[in-house]
Amino acid sequence: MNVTDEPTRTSARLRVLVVDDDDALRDALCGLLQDEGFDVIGRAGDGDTAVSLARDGRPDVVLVDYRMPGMDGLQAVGLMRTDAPLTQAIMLTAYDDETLSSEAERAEVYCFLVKGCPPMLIVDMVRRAGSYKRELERRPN
Amino acid sequence: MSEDVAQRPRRWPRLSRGRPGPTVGQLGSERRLVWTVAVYLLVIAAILAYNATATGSERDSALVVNVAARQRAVAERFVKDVLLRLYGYEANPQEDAQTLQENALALLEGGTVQAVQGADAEVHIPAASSDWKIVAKLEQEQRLIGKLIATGNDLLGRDPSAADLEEHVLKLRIIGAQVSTITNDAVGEMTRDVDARLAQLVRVGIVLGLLGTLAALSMGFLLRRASAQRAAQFQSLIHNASDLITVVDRDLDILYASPSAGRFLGRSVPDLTGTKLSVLVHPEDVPAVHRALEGLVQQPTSTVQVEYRLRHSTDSWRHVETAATNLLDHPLVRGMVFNTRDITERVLSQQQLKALQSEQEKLLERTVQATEQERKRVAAELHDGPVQHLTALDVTLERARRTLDRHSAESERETIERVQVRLRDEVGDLRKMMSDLRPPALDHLGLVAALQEQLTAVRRETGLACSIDSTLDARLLPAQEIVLYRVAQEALTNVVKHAGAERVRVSLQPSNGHVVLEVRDDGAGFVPSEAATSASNGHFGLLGMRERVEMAGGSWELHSHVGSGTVIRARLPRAVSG
Repeated sequence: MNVTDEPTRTSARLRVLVVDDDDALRDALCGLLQDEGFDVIGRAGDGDTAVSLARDGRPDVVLVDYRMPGMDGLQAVGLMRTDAPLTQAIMLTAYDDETLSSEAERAEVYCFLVKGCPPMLIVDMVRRAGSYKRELERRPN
Repeated sequence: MSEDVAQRPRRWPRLSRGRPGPTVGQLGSERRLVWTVAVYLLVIAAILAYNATATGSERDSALVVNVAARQRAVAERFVKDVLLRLYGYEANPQEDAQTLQENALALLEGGTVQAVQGADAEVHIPAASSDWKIVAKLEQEQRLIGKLIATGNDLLGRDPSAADLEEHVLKLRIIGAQVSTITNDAVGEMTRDVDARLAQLVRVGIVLGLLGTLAALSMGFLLRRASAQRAAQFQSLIHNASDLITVVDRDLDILYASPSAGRFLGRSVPDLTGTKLSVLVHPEDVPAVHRALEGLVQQPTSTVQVEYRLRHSTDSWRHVETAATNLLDHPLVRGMVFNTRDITERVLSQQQLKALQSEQEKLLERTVQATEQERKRVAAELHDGPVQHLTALDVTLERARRTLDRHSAESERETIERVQVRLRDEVGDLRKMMSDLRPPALDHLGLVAALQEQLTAVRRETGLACSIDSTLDARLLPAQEIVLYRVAQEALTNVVKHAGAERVRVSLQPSNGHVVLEVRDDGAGFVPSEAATSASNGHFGLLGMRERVEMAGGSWELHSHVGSGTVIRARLPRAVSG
């Protein structure tokens, strides 16, 4: 199945939660993802709200910033995973930092993107992460 | 405390092993003492020499008197032997005559004569006397002996039956009697002479004895005075010295305290004597003092130094430094001698200095922290402002472009794409500024991780081979991590800009209570003295590095030679983050 080329043909649209403390960027990302056929089930400006929305909305993918007020993105992802271990996270941060990247890898984040990358790369990664999650769901335990 | 111990302190000052130097007065006194001893020794030598001479002389006198006295007996024997021989009996008057003549000559001029008694067959006698009366009598005796011998020889040549023989015999007897008489006179004179000399010997002996006694008395007097001067001088030193002298026994009871100790502690010396030292020592210092003295007690004559506080009578505390010497085994001391010095001012100065240093460190930390906080704030503002907003614009433009794509508006699509490319470049630059201002790893993961991050970035951007080696096992204080990070950052910037190196090695190691950062490259190197003045050449950072490190209480070194690379070393006193 080629989800990149034909997103709308998935059995159900991929559910995405967008988490960033900057309103303008958060809205722009949500708009882009919706344009690209994703179901944006929620948007949050901090980690606590994100965890709460994830618990209710059961997203396939969480697009999350690292540096936010209160808990950081990695901590929020950790808490979300306790309820929904298969949820995939994409870290989108302004810090091009190897150490942070390694930390994200250890936390089994699907991918680590740096702000300033082409927006379609973000879209593509969200799509791949969603497909991966669906595939995991289909696998026998 | 017993009476005996209470009286001991009077003797202490004389027992110190320290020897004060002599005073001018003492030098004069010692010189007199030396002269007196010399005179005393001379007098003793004179007495001994005189006694030896006088004894020899008396022995000679006794021999001479004996020889002189014997002349009378020999003369009588000669008369008797002449008569015996005259009447045909066995006798040897010639031998008597010879003895008489030899003795007479020896008595006048000195010589060897037959011994009168004792084991010696012959003895040597000196001339009997230089007294003219004795010499005159001896000369007369010699003439009479000659006359006696001539008369005897004449008689022996006569016929024993001749009528006038009796007359000649009488003449011989008369001359013999004259010899006896004159001999008696001479012996009498000689005896008087010997008596006179003996009397003189006794007088001289008495005078020399008196002189000797006088010298001995003077010597004793001077010795006593020198000893008293030394004691007085030492007493004066003890009394007026600023150092405190105390003597304590094994139980730390004070046996002796100098007046200066009393003055220093605001107590009287009798009050201090018998007091337990531990009562005066600050409770917090008692264990240290006990430890030092326990060690000292085990080692006779050894000395330890210990610092502690002593209680003044006003209940304030004085800082002191004591050199304690174990003289417990010294038969006259039986105690530990404390030489104590007031170091209150020194300690207070040190404390003030330490407080100032601490204040300075805090100030530095506050300054460094404030600078870093500012950097952090700017980085956060970049993150929250331009980076986010530009990224949002990019995403928004992307949406527009995608929409246009679907409606085939080619020229607008290309414009948007160009704007997006520029936007991404701007975001990239802003991100780099953020990271330079405040690397996130420094706060989260510490200095080593942040340096690794920095080196990775350098390697990625320049292709330089970078490595880091660290055995640091704990985080440093945040202010120190920042200083070392900035030094490494500046050094790496210099390597990239100026060194033309192929390899750079960073090392971060603990070393003797310090932490040492070293940045070593294999580049072109330079002449440090020239670099110091060429601020425009990018070396201005060297001064900045040095200032940062020195402000943090550390030291900074630069080693570089043209063609052999550069080493920059920063050394900070290690303080591990709690």
